Amino acid sequence: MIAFYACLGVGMTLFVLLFFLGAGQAPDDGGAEPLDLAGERRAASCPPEIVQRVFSPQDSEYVARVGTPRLERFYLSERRRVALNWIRRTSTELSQVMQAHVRAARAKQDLNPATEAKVFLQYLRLRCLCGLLLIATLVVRPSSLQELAIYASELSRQLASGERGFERVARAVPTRVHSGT
Amino acid sequence: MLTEVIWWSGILLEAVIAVRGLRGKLFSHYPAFYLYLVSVVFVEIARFYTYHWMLGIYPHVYWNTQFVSLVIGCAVISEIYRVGLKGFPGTARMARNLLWFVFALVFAKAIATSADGVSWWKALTAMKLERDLRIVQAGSLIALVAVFLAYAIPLSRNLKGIIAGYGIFLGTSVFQLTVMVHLGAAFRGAWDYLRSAMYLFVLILWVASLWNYQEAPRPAHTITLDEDYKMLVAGTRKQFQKTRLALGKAVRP
Repeated sequence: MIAFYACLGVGMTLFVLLFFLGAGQAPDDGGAEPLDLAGERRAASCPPEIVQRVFSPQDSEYVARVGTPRLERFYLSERRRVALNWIRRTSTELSQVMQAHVRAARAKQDLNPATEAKVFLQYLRLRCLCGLLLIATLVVRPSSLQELAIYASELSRQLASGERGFERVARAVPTRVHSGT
Repeated sequence: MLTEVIWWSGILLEAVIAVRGLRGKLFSHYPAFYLYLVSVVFVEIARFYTYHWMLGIYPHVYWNTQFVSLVIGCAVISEIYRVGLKGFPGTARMARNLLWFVFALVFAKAIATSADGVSWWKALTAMKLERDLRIVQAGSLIALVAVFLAYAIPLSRNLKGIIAGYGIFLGTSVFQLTVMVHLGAAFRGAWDYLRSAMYLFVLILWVASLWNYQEAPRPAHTITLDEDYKMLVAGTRKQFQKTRLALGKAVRP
């Protein structure tokens, strides 16, 4: 019975992928932007202090102390809207980084499948984290995400240890500045 | 009557594709696909002839010709790989790895099946063998399409049409053969017409997409400060690290 469903699954997967192929690809211009410049733009998109403030419990505690239900409702809906916007924007920026990466990497002679798999996995984990944050913000107050923070810092620690290895490799290669062919 | 209409429509559409291929010089760009198409025309005529005048040997002719088109179908998939990834050597390596992974999975499944005491080949009927080979083809096409989508490989309308048509044909074949192996002959009948109608749809798709030769769109040249692959990877990961830090900072108590 498992084989039966697996075979049908193969057919279904093929149809789904063909649908995406037929639906058309994004215009081929995302990769034209240098990654570093894009990074500067991203860093400036929303200062970390503001983001931290959106999720911090300080304002929430202050509004609770004032004790006006209407103000509390207004505060909560506004804060949630800002938080959701920020998460969606972060998610879009992640997609843009990944798109720029694949468009630049696809023509490389020395493209490494294992490295690509690692980059994709990292991207997937960050997208999952954004999704998790999005759901958590919808379900609980943006200022009550402490449990998620524990997961985020744990993930952050794991990723950082993996990245150190890559940075060592990257540093070993001299930087070249040219227009490319 | 309906069977004959489907049969003749199929042969007519295949002839139109072949003629357009000759006039538009598509034969030289997609030789395996046109070899497949011409072989299908001959197979259809042979089947039509035996079905009407030598019904006794029709099942024999059907299965033998089916395997011929199956083998040529593998060449079509190899052509999709070759043409689609011509200008992308790194991505081609990625696709090769994925294809090897698909073959390894199929090989492992074959070993696991033969390990339970029954010889794999003895246990296979012609229908089962065709299903398994179609699944291998479908798996290969899945791997290729996944790479095309993941790396936003620009494809010409011609190649997109070939992939879509052959993919639809493979998908319906896998569905039909899987259910027929599972349920037996009870499944035949209406499905035979449905599959034929689907094949006509595929032929119409090929007529439309292979009317003229079209070059694959040239990808916009990517200008990055660091053209080296390792630097590119390090740059991407750095961007991810920044985002990850921002996410972490946002929710830190």
